[in-house]
Amino acid sequence: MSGEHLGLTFRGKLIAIVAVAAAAFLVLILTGAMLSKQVEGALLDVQQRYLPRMEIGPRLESRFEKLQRGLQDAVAAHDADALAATHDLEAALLEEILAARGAITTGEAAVLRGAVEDYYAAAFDVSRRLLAGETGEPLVDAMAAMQGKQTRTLDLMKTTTAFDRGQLAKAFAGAARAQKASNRARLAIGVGCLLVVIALSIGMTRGLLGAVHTLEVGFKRFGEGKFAPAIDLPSRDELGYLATQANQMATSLERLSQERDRLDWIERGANGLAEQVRGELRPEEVATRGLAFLAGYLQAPLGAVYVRGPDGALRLLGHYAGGASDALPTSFQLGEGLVGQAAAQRDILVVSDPPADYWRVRSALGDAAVRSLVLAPLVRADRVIGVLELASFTPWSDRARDMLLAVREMFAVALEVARSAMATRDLLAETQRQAARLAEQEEALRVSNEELHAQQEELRQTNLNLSHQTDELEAQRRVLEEQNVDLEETRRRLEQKAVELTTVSTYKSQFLANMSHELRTPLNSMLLISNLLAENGDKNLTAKQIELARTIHSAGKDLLALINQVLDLAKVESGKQEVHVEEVQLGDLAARLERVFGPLARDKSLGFTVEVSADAPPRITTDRQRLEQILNNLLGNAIKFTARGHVALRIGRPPSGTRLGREDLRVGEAVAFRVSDTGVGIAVADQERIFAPFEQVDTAIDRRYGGTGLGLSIAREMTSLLGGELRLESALGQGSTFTCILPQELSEAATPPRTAGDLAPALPALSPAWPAGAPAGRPPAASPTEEPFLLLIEDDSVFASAFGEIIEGQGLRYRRASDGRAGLALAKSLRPTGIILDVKLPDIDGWTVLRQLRDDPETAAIPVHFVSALEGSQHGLALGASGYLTKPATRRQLIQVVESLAPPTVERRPRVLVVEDDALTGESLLQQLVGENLDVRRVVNAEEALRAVRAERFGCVVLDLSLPDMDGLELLRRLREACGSQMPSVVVYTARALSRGEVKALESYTEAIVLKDGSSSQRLLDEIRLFVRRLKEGLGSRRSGALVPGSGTATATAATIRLEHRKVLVVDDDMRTVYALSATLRAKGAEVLVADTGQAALDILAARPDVEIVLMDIMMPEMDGYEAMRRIRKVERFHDLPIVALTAKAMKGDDEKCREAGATDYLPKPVDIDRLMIMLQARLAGGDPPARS
Amino acid sequence: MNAKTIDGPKADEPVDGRKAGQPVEPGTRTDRDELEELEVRLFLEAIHARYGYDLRGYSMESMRRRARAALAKTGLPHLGELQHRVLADPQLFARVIEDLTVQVSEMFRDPSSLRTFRERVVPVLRTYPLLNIWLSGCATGEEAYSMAVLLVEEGLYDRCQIYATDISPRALEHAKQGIYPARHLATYRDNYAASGGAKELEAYYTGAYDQIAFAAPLRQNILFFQHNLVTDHVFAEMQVIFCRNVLIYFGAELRDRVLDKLAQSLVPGGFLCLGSGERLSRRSLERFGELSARERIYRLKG
Repeated sequence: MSGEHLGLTFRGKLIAIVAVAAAAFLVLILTGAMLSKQVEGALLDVQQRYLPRMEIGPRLESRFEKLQRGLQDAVAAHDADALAATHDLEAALLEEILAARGAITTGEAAVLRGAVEDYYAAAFDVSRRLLAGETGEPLVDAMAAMQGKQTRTLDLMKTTTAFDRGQLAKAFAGAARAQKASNRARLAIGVGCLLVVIALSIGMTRGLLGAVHTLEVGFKRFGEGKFAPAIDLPSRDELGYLATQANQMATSLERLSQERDRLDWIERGANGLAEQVRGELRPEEVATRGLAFLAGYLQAPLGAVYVRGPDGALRLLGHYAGGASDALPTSFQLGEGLVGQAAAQRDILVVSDPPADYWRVRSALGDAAVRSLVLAPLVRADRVIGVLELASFTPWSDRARDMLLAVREMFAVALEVARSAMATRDLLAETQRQAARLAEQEEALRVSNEELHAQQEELRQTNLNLSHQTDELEAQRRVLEEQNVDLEETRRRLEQKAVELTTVSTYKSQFLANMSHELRTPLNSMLLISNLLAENGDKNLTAKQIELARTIHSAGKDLLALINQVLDLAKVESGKQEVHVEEVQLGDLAARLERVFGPLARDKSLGFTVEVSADAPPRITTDRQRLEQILNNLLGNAIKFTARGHVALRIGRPPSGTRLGREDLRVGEAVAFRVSDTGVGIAVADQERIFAPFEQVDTAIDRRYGGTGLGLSIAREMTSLLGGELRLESALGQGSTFTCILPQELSEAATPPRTAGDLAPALPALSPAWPAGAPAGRPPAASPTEEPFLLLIEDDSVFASAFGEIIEGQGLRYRRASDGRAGLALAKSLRPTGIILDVKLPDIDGWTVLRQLRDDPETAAIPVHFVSALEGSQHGLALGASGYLTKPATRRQLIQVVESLAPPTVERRPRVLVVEDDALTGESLLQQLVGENLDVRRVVNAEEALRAVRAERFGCVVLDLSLPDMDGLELLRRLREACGSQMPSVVVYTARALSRGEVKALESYTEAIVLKDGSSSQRLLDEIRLFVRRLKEGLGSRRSGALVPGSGTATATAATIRLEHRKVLVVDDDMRTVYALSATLRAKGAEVLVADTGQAALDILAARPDVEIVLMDIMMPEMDGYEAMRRIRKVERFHDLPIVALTAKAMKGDDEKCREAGATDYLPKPVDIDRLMIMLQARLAGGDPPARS
Repeated sequence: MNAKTIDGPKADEPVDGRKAGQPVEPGTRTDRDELEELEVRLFLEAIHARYGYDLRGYSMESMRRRARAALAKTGLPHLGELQHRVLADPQLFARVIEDLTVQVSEMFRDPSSLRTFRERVVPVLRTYPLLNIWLSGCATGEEAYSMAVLLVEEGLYDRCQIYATDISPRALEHAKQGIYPARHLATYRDNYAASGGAKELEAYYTGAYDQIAFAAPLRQNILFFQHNLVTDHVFAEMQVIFCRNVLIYFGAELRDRVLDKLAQSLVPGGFLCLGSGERLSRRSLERFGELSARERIYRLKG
């Protein structure tokens, strides 16, 4: 406090305090004494003034009394002497009064003495007079006077000694006051002094303690090695001196420590660098790591290392923060640039404050110019091997420079070591590599050799096979020869048969002709007679009899017509019909027909018109008689089968674009005769039949209208004879139109001679100009059954039913015969399109069946394919089988067998829906797909697509994702909703760029995703073809391949396992597995969640803690299954979550690895579905949902 | 990493007949050969039983040479001893398996095949939104980086996942680093240009001190992992599989089995690229169509 300010030393301060304390003490004593004196004075005053007075009173009174008594005694004793003696007493009293002069004032004493003397004189006189015996008045007066004087003296005495009590009290009070004042003053002074001393002491102590604390803190800091701020103790006392000393010591200590730090720092740097560049590193690793360390250590934001190559040039080896964009120069010559200069002068080169644009260091947040550069040549054994350059934002410190000096050799050594190590390594690697390459070449050579050997072997084998085959061929040739002989025999037989047939045919025709003739003769008579009868010329017949005669006549006429027609038909069929070509005027023809049929129509109240259209030629060249016969037939039929309405004949050119069945018939050179009616019409199904002889649509019609049923057959035959064709368009209840199309010019030569076997006039295929409803073409030689079918002759019913499914899967029907005879019978009666034949059959063997089939002309043409457990393809093929398949056969092979036997026309066309809003793309797609023989429909938006899918079934949907009305993914979702398990395969065809997430989302709905690109349409077709094939083979999605159906033994158990409402998380990046697993699990009733990465799995688990089991793939990008499982296990509530690891790896130890990572179970891929099911059931047993059956 | 062909005296030393379980009269060359073959067979059998590596289908002649080389490296007197140690020591096994299998590879190997790949396969790959490419037997990874470069240039890299697998963990370690000696750069450059590379190969690596390191972005979509083509199952659906110079070490039966496996992994219409010395067997050609038989590029039939 004060001491500090006064700058006193510590000793001075102590002395000052003692002095102050002593002075205070003195003052205290002196003041005490002074005050005591005052009190003493006051008391003395009391003692001297009041106490003697109090004492003198009684004394004086007693003396006075003694005097009185002496006088009285002397009087009493009459003793004069005694009286004289009283003088002494008086003297004593006076003495006393004199002595009391201290107590009483002198004046008072004098007064008192006067009074005493006065009294004594009076008393003595009285006494003497009494003694003297005097009596009388004078004495009494004297006595009274004496009495007075006595009283006065006593009073005086009393007043003099009876001092003032108030004075005394006053005096005492004053003394007491003084005493009190003195006490107070003393206390005050004492306290004051004490305070001063205490204050001084505290002040000093505080100053002292503060300084000591400062010192202590300072020392402590110094002890910790922090010398930076000196101890701030400006006082000049001993502590100040101590502080100064300490500061000096600290300064020197600091210097020492800094030096040590500097050395330490450099050493640490060197050690750190050594640490970084140690080990088997490549030179650039040494450079990069060393540089990175140095840059960090020296806080240099930029650095580069250049090394001298064999050519002496300095090439960039590594850099720090000098990335590609900054493009550091890659090489320097010695002496070129600062780098070269540093190398040349071998000394550290420091460049301070280079220009601001010298080099800028960039970061994401900005860039700045470097402030200084240092270039340290890396010298080793007096050889510069490179240069290290570092740049800094701050000027280079000496320390940094020293550091570089210290480490540069080590750096150089490290580089050298790395370089030579690498060279060694490379050499080794090269040697190894060459060895490996040699080995590989050798290997390839060996493989080629082996292959050559194999080929040789194969060739040998082939040769062997060839010779075998030659043998077999020889055998076959022999068989063939034999067969040839047989054939020749057969041919001869056939020829003979043909001759016989011709003869028979001639006989038949002759017979028919003769018979007709023979029949006609009596018939004519009968007709004549019945007619006569009916006319009832004699008028003797009853009406009933007339009616009967008419009936006979009518029946006879019908019979005659029939006979004529049979004759006609026979003639045509036997080729006897001759054609007489002549010109026919169409107008004449029309007029004649009008004349003939007009009345007939009118009879039935039908309208009848004959029209020759303008484009018809005026005349045609044909056989008039036949033409008329045809038209008569058609018109007759039309009128006959039409109850109301009208019948019309229209003659003109056939509509252009009409596809004609006959190749020699051309639209422009043909004439069409259309006979249309409004009659009953003919159902499509019956249209073919009515052309057959003796066929009528309905027996009821037959009954109603009579007729032979030969008319249309004849008409068709005739038309064909005239080089034309006969068509029919009709629908039940809609009337019919028969069209006879004939060539305009029929040359006689053009009509080929016809034979009986050639009667196969095809109904022409549908032509565009002809309205729908016309029958689709069907092979005229169709079997009597409704649909084409395959005949399966097989005794093994299990195989047969399996094969049957395959056949039906191909859209075909089949019938099965379980033995050879039944098969033969079926083949004959039903004419299958193909036969699948087993060799080993219970009755006759397959060879025999085939032989018999081939021997029967009706069945000879039916293709037969062997499927047998017996070997014997050579034999089978030699017998004329179309193929031979050895059991056991794959499904694929069986399908091929079916395909080879199936008639091409029955192929079911798969239906494809194209959802594409772009007209151009849509159209081109349509065309391509139609070209693929697909039934294609196109819609342009999502709504239509949904509607289409709900209304019809499609096998495949080709979907453009960018639709005008709905997002593609949304559409897929709705499609799945709409179709459920009947969801068609979807091929996405899009030009949209898809993110990974989108693709993953799409993949769960789609079979394939095709991006529109150069070769995309080809791939799209490939994908659709693939789909079509899978459809035909009855296979599911191609994704089901990720599972194996089960080992078999456990199937029965596994199939019954249900996982109703169990929540299963499937984690796999392979969509095939995901697809297959989730489909299987969903089918078992489980709720399936899917994640395609480990991270996604963690996210799902975090959001859905109710997942009960996880199926975890191991190999996934980003986060693999091991890591995912470890992370799942880190979460406490998933400690007991069952995880089944799925992995493609089959190595020993893989399952342990999975279990270590946290898997509960382990299943190798492909996943055995039975094992998985049993595992799931075991792991989920006892869980909440009542799932177990 | 390699296999030196050492026909040193060791291989010709008579081996203990009883060890092989057959009393054989030592002496004639043929006997020794038979003995060695027996030993090798037992050795491979042991490896398969212990570690699951199935090398039994490899051709005997090459296995014999490799076994000899592996034996020479260890300095052990005979294969029985090596077998004993390998069974007990997985680390020794890891080294031996590298000697038993050959890994040698270079950047843009078979450039004309890669050119064909660029010209005829890549256009089809463009139609896939995501691509999986499997490089089976990727060895030290040169092929993986070459493929990455090719795909980057064709603009397909972002949508592809390359699975690069090999039997050898050590080779895979090397592959993951992506650092190769610069000595072969000239060859690499030539190959690159011949494979249809339009840029400078330098754009993809940084090189110094006779080493080159491939840029990290190239590694981004490559997943390296250990996979044994013989024993392990396929793990994902691939559009393309490169399996070059692997099948030549397999016996005919194993080769067909592996090809079946590869076919299983491929999408219909997916591509299979083999090494120049390899050819599909007649049986495998039933499953694969030839896109370019000369360049060994095949396509899985639908």
